[in-house]
Amino acid sequence: MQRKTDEWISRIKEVEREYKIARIALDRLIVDADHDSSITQDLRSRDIRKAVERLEGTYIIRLFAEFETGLRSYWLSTKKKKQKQTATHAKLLVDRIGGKHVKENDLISSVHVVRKYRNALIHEREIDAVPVPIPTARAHLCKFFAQLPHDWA
Amino acid sequence: MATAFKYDNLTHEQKAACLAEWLERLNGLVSSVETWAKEYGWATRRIEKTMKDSVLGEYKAPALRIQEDLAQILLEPIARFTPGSEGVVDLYLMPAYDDVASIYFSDGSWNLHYMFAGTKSVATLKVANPQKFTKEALHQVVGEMVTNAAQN
Repeated sequence: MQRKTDEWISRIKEVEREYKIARIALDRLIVDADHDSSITQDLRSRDIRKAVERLEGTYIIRLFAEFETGLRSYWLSTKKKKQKQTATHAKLLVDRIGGKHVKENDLISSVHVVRKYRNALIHEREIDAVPVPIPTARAHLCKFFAQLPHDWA
Repeated sequence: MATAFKYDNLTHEQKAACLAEWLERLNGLVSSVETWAKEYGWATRRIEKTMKDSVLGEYKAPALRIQEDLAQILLEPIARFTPGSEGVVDLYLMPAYDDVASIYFSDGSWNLHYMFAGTKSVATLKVANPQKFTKEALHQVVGEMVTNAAQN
């Protein structure tokens, strides 16, 4: 039987695989559209290029969403019914769960770097956000998650 | 309009047969790797992965965790249907889930796609020079992963 932590880190990796597929497809579309503009139907070349430029950001948001959903699932399992109704921000989740289970402070900081970048992409704020490539983000999130207890209810 | 995937029209019986064949293939691979790992003195743990496949539906497939020195390695089934082969399984360095190697089933055997240290680098693992996936090849890959894990 697959442990909960394994299941969640596998889901995070799955998002990266989907990103790679989308990247290949879009790169291919750009090349093919140069030879046959009818394949893009009513889309313009600049729309496709914009999609290419924004693809990595889109998948950073999805990658972090998967991670955050997993963290929230674990966090809720540790709470009593009444406490479950309290909303908790991603920053607090990372700090509280990381503080309890993650041995390396550097890793907690790295996850916050990914979170801030995600926030910058969504809200166009967090001016100090540093872009994080997908493989780096995935590695930080998976390493963090792997230190949680293997299973929870 | 979406193009139909060539396996979309398989009958229920054909899908069941395809899944049974795929699971048999995976079990054979995992058992071989488990045996080789034991011979090298590496710790292993067999796990079950829930697969969600658009053709075969949801099913459980075997995966294997290997621990050698500081390196934690995962042998994980990825998909039965993949362009140019009849199934793919990946090797990852855990817990970061870094891509290490892909093992494709084609022409009746498992073939390793891996960029060995010192070889010419290529854009993706799939285009790396394939070689038969053997006990010796696994030993070499794991050896390089142990070295990398020690350096990180």
